[in-house]
Amino acid sequence: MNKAGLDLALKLLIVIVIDDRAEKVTELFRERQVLLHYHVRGHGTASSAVLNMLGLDKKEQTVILAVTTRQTAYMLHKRVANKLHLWEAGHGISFIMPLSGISKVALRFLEHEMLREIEKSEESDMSEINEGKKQMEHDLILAVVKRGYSEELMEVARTVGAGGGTVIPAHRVTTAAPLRFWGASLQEEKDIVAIVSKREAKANIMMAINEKYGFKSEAQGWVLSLPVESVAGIAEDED
Amino acid sequence: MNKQLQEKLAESFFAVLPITVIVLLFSILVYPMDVGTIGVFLVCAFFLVIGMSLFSLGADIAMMPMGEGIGKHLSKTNKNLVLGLLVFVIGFIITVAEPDLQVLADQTPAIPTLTLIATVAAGVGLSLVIAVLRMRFQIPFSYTLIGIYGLLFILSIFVSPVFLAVSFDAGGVSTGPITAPFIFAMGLGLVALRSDKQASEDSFGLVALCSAGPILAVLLLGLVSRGVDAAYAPVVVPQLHNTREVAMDYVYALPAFAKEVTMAVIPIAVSFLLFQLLTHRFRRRELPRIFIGFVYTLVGLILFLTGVNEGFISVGYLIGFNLATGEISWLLIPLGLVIGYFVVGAEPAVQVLIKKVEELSGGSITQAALKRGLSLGVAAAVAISMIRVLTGISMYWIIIPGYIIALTLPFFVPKIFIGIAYDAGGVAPGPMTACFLLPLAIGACEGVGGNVMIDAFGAVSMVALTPLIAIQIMGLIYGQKLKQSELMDEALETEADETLILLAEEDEQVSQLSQHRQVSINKLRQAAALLYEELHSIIDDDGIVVFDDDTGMVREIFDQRSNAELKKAVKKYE
Repeated sequence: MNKAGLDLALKLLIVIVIDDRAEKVTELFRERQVLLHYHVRGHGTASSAVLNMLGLDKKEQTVILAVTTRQTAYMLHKRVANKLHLWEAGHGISFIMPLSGISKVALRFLEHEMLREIEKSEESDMSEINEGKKQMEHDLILAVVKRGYSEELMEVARTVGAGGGTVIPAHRVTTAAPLRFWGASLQEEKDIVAIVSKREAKANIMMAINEKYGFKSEAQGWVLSLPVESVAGIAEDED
Repeated sequence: MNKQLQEKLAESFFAVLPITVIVLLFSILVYPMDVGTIGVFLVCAFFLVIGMSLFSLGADIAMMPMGEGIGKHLSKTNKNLVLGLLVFVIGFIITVAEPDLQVLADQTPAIPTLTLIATVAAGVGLSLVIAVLRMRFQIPFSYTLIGIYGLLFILSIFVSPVFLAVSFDAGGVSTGPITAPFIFAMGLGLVALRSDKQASEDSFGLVALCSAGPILAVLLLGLVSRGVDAAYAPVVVPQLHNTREVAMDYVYALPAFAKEVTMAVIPIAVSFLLFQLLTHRFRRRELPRIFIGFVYTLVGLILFLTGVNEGFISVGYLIGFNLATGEISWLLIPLGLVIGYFVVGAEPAVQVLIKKVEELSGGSITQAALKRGLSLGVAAAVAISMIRVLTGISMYWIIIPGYIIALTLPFFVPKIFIGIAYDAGGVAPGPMTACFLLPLAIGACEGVGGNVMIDAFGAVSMVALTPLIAIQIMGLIYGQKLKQSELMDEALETEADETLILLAEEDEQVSQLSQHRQVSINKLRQAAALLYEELHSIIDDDGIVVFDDDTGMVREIFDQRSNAELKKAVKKYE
């Protein structure tokens, strides 16, 4: 069933901004009728210990996930960066990740995007499409630790080259029979810390996290990284 | 200035501003008040803004995380008895220290102070027990409400009207500005670790039960000790003439409120310390932050309460009294409407509630919408109270049909709104109600010469009732909108289908186009046909599409219906 020649590449576009700017991003997505579009709540990590202690630093953030076609993803990525001035520090981050599979039904939501893409591919010479491949210079690092360790973890990560991070509160779903009490299962609280870093810094950051907050430490953490195609919103990045 | 600080100050400023403007306009246009009173009022309004900002900051970094943390750990306790006991103790001790409860107990000399305080505290403790057991046995919240309020109304028939007023006030004071956010957060924590469908609905409703429980408890007390009479503290309007006196007046009042608030915070601090020692939930480095948050809450609330007590009571009283005795007493009703609309935004606990609701609903129930609902509710409450003061209609004529509506609506409203509505009803009558709306009603009542104990005090229970109805009606509308947006999604989908078909049918017109264009159209048509075929072969099944790693193009499509193909897929990618 190989359909070579038909470019239907799908991308995951992730935008992380402070809460009150999420609406702007959503507007952009809505204009383009991005239907597979989700919000996840998280919060930023402190950049200063004193401000953090005074409660003047922590900012609620929204992680916006959207699945769309490659061209739309790149287009929105650029528009978000321009509209929200992502090149300025602390304004948020936007990045694109490749997808390697999806349910068929999901394609249905993308029909009109795909058609538009086919039309467009006639006019513009697929030049933008290859952009992504050259730019695999970043990684998304995800560290999972016990609740409450995220601030320290970020401090350590910063010393080895991480910029900022976002914490997403999560529960761990255990394979062992979960404690059933409320008529539903109860789970362990975890923090997922997401950091986008340059590829050169990735290994150091992961090592540092693993060393201090690894599985055998109190934080019971572990870490993984995923390839990221294009990033806007990291200080060193001029994209 | 720091961005977060700026935000909080702006938020509080715009919460206090409308009510300040109304009072100023009133004093200029309708009834001139002396400069001293207005001076104190303005100074107090200023401190209200500062106090509210600090309080809100403290709630964010200390009270809410603490309450949620305690709730989460309580939810891990799998013994009903232990859980019930712990919850009872927490409810009891945080209520005992509530300053408003002390005041209430002092105002009702016929009931021994200790007896009343213990009764109310036990009421809160028991409501918490009922609340968690309800979740445990998955009894719908609406049934619990009907049970409790039903019992409440039956009991109210047998006690004296004065005792009835005291018991409803007890319900109001048990959910003060410190306990309400704490209990609210605990409720969120209790369900935070659950992953079932009812979890988000169960997040709310704890505060609601905590304000209904004490009413019931005091009513029971009233059955035991019949024939009690209660009094209230008369309002004293200060006579001040220069700015120094105005400022000093505020400063002199500070220590008394500092003591009250500290008393109320201590039990929460102690239970938190015990909790921390037992569970080590918070890391050592998180503790300073929580401590500072505590200090914010403390200082913020002291500034707020001093301001509202010193500046707002006399102004509220004067407005009420002068309007009622003047020729245009009917003006009380529209003025009450406007004041009610704006006053609820200045309740510190309300801000905490609406912010959290927006967060938990993933932004679908916005702060602005919820605040509007609450404002409309309280506006109605104040207007009705004023009508009552002017006409002397019995409270029962309004309260009973009101509660019947409030208890019927849960059968029609999206479930999450029931809890939110009843929590809002518990939170709405806070210090602003006690120190501004109540004096307004008392002033008006004395102006007309009514029975203050019966006519004016109903204002508080009215403010507790109307949000229940207003927010639930909001929920009804929300439910309707939700259905509409689903329809929109469907429309969008069919539209997308049509575009595809149209493109494939456009063949006939191609020849009319230029050569160059035709080539591209041909390609487009080919691609569209290909896509069309592909999409229509896959639409309506649950399959998986796999993309090529390098090019990102569709490589293969697996159909889950055919097992053979699925196996092939698994084999290939294992």
